[in-house]
Amino acid sequence: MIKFVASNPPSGDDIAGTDDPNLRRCYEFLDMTSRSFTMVIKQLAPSLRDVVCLYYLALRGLDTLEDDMTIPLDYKVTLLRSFHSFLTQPGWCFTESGEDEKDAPLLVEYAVVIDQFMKLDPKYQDIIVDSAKRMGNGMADFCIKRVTTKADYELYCHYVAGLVGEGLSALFAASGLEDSELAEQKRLSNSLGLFLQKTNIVRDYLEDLHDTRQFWPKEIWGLYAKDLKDFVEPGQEKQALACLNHMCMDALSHVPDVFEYLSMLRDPSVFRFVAIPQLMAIATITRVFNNYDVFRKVVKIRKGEAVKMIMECTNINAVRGIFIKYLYEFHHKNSSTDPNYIKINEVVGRSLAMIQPHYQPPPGPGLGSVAAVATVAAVGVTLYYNWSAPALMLF
Amino acid sequence: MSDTYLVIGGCGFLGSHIVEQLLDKCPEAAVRILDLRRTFEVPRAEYFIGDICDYDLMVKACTGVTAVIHTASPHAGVPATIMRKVNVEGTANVIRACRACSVPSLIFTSSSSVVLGAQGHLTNADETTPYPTRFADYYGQTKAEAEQLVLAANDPAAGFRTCSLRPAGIFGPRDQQMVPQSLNSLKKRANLFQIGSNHTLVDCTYVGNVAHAHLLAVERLPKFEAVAGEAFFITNDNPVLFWDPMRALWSLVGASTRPVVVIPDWGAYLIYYLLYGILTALSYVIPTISTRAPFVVKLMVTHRFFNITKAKTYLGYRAIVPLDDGFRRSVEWYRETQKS
Repeated sequence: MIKFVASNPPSGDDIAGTDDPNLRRCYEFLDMTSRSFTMVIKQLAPSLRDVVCLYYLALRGLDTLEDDMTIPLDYKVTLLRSFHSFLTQPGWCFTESGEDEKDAPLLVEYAVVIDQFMKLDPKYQDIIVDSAKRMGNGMADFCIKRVTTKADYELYCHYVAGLVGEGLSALFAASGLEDSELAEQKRLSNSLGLFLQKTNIVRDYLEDLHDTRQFWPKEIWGLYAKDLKDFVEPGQEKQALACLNHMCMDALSHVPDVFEYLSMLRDPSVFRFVAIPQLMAIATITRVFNNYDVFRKVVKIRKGEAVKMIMECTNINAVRGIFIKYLYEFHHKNSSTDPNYIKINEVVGRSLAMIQPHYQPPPGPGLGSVAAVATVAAVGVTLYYNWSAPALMLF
Repeated sequence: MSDTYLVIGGCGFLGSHIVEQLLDKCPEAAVRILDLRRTFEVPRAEYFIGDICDYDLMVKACTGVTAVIHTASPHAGVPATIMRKVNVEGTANVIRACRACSVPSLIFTSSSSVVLGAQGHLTNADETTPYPTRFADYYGQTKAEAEQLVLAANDPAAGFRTCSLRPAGIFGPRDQQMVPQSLNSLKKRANLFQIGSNHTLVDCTYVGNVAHAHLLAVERLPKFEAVAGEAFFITNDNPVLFWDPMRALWSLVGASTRPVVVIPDWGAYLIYYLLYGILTALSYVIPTISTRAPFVVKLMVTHRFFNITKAKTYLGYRAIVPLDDGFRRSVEWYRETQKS
């Protein structure tokens, strides 16, 4: 990770050296609150870096309120619905977070974020406020109702992640780094967020179960169990895997859209910003697929695997190569005893058909093809002499 | 006056599904079936039994017909002379009869193999793909010749419109090839072997979807100029890896889909060139030997999938039955045939 940042200016050091102490504090919060986004945000082109950093902190603020189970429901709903207006309210902060809330310091010092937010170009402010408004209202809706149907699941993921995809597309377009048409690609932008969010929801089954949160839709798990927590019980392994795989298949179905979106990007820093999280998601969903460990412990991709992908993520062709590799692995892990065996292969096929025709394998013959050519030549020569000799003798 | 439809090859695999859908969707229409043998019984159809090369019979069957749907074609592997007689001469005869009887519409069942050449991959191929200079097999070559005859005969000014549908890899109930062959091959434990790395994408199409496309063509050909004289690829719009359709069928009868022996792609090429070399050498001695047989192996490592945007746009086609439902229906049918 360090190597990646160092080899791709502008690096984090430039940002830490900024003159504005408030902006510096914002980047410190970014490091504190974000596990995976801080690195991809810092490598963005300078014109977008601060914008996306503040967009992230705006949404992180919302997310911290949503996650906090100690805030009374009515109060929480009010906070979520009006959060977008706090972004332009100098000095606003929130000091009533629960004790366990690790991101609480961000809300305590939120005035710093607001100060910087209000310095952004108004075109960016409008996009971020609009996004926060819709997300806050959506989160508030889901404080009151549960994720039950597949439509609920799509909608919940749209609120917490799809809207981020749409917001980012609008920011990219507004910055001029990407085509203005990108802002109109709502379906594709939504799919970017949904692939990431669904992958996390599938992976975090156990963690969410412990926190008594429930994001897997009953319309899916109800096919395999009477209760979502039954999957950890002994004797339920087969049903648990079938449900897990159904959820993985649903997440994977967004891959064709992801590639349609990636192929539209033209700025290298935006491309990497968008593609790296998607690579983590395809690696994670492949690891999680048909893996009972999800019900026993935390399943994550290896750090080395992640670093390697980040290093390789330089252009769309490299991303195609990595996706193809994981899709083959996903396909290979599919088991014919799974109730969705055929459907899963269909989803993999649709994704591959979107990616494979455009993929240029790295130049240079592989060892396999060299061996094949040599063997064919040897066999050809042998055959020629062995067959022509008796043939000639006939005449 | 109600419509009359003639389905040539209406007792066959695809033809019988078209007949069923016609009877179901157009209850007032009269349906005629022309086929070599009466092997498919439906209560409300008129049968014409005989050969499509028989002009008098064709004229009798075409008289007063609104649209002719020509699905007749021999199975792959029949002698070349029969292939040519049915596919090319037969189709020419159908066109003559249609013109003589002033039939307004002719819908021809072509095949995606009309663009399948001896070389190269077909990825997302659309209708701008040219006919190959050297065809992968004689079936594709004769179908291409017939298709060209049909499309050239399109003459809207004279009140005669034609179009051609190119389905890829049809399967389903009453299938005589893919479904029974895949399931029968289990007796030879074919599921334990995999030739190629299974990285090749191919299209397959449920027969009900192909029949549906034909009904859409019947409806749209007289109405839309953009359909007349055109060819359309028809697939399930869901490419899958080469061994997946077979494994789908195998999984539905509870057989293993994990091969024990896997020959990678380069091994498949090796087998291909090896067999090709042997046959080429042999053909010096025995000139009648065909060197085409090993091509089957090469096909296993060659992409063949199609872009069906044209059919979606102009025919309003969608694959109404997804692949997994199609496989389920196929296996249900196969089990019925095994009982009786």
